[in-house]
Amino acid sequence: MEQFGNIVSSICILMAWSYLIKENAVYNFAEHLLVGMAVGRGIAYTIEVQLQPRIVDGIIGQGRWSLIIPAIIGCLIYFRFVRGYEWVSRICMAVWIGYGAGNFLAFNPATYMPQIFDSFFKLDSIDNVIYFLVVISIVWYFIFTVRKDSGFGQQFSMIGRYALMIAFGSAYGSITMAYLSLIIGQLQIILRDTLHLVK
Amino acid sequence: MDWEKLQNIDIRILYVIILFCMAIPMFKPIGLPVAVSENSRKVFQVIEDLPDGSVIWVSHDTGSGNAPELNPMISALARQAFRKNCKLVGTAFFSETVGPTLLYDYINEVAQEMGKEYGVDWINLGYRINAPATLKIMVDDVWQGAGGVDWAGDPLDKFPLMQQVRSIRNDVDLLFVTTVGSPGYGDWMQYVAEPLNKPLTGGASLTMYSGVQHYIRSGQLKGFLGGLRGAAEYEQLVDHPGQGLAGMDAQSMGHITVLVFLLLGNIGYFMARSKNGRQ
Amino acid sequence: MKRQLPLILVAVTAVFIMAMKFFNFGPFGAAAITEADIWIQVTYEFAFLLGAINFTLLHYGNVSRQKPRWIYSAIALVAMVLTCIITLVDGVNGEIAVFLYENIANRIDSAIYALLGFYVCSAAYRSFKLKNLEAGILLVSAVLLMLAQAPIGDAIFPGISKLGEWILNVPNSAGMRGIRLGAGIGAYAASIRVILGLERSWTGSGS
Repeated sequence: MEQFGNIVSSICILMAWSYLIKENAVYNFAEHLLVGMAVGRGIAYTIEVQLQPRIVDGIIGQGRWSLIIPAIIGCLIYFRFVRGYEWVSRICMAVWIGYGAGNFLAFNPATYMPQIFDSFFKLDSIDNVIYFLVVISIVWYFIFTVRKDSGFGQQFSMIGRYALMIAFGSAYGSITMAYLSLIIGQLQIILRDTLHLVK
Repeated sequence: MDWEKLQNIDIRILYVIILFCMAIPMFKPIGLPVAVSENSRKVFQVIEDLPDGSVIWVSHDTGSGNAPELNPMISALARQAFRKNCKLVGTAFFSETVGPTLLYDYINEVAQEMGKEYGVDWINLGYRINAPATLKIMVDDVWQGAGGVDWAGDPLDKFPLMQQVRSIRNDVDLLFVTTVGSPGYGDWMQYVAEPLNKPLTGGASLTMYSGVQHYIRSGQLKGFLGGLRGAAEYEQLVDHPGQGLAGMDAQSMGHITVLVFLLLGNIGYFMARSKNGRQ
Repeated sequence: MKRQLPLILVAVTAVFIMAMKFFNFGPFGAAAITEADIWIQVTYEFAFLLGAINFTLLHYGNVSRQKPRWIYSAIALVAMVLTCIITLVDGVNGEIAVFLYENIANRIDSAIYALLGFYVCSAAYRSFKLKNLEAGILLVSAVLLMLAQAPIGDAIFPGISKLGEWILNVPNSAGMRGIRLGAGIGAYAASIRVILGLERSWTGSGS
């Protein structure tokens, strides 16, 4: 059974990779199969592992009838599909957006403030001096309300720009490695698990 | 020589070359040593410094796309944690359909090998919708946050481990998060690690590697495993080579090939430009 | 009512969360936040079919109107229905359900994502050209990092991994922190605009 699974896996990988030659029917089939299966499993998973325990154990079992209110608010989102009453779905969205914005403003400073405090440290080494200058120059670069046409302001902004290029360059280097390792994962399934050509 | 041609090689030929170059070391491994970085060492050490029997919260917040990079980290973590008789409580907030299964498979494999029992030494609480809300609930009430069930829908009261773990605030000693973006370190810091002053460590796809360095510097993240390379380093530290190390030779060849492509593209570009300039 | 009610609800919800966090209401405040979190979880749980309904309407429309490539829409719909039924009957951890999902959907998913690996190579060849100073800095930084992170880098240029670590820890880390500080201020401003009702694009009526 395991070997059969590996063979199926390898065929699926090759179907997806056929896109590298050009877009074709095999790839389109695989793509739509994936989307359909993901939605199908998502529905089943939510019903079995989340909704059923919530209704059976949470609302009915523990008698938490107050949870019917958020349940109704959640269901309002389906008014998107009722012509003439689409605006009702915005009630549900409003609760989500308000919750998100409130949460962000209430809780995010806990992670944001240490980033500011940590940018001001003892300038007792070349690394620390470079670090401090780069942070300040990038913040300066992103201030668009001040004109930086000439002089020190422009030069300092340029340092920020070059520092950003270093950061983006290292991000590209890291991303290359990340994506290549994804190819390795697929090759291992084909060559090692299915064909047993490598150890 | 017609330098224009060097700029216009059929891209499919390059795809075949990269595939071959990465496959060759799988047949004939080079066995290049992998130097362990300071960031990976920190991850290992922060877990090693925990008292025996501590509870580690492990969240495998990944989809199947980045899973090949992150799965080996989970195996290595389970190995190190179980050696110290630490307990593992798992969640997976990125994808309801993939994360919980991967988390279960990779910890279960190590647990069976080391004689650890599900529900006693480790548990998988799986995916819950809306990570921020769930995390905030779990800070004070893990049972409530998990909806009273584990990843398979079984009630939590039948698992001895869950009698011990009631809240992250009082019962969890370390957070180990593997992530591919959102939910990620931002959420874990914001709602759990910073308010509770809990140590947060883990790994992520290398796509995030450069973007989390400032969290390590500020001490908000205790070390970091960067992608497959980070997993390979961690496997070395726990002294159990696995999938991470196995892929390192192919990784090296892949990088060299990309650099050669980069060089070819630029040589073609400069030669064609200087030729056009002369004309 | 249609326009004002959602905006009022946004403000009330956000202010409630912030008030409970910032003002010391003792155990009541903590309990209120937890209750709000549970309510939000429940709203999401009951809204879970939104994506599925959208998906079904889109693809059903394609099939019923026999649009070009409708056959793929039919495949997606059949796959959805079958997977849902099999998973519900067999259980999310049932042998058949897991087999199908792990060996088909997961594999296609990760293989499609791995296509990015090939595109990175093609980007290196086609687009990464040394056209000016900025591109040069970007290129040098990327090449150093690529060499530093693969074990072969140290074999060719001993000590390059240390240089790579330095780039990551100092200029890169400082650069990312600068971006983070700038983006953070932007995100706070955006959140305040949403709460004040100045940002209304989500209602479909524009700012």
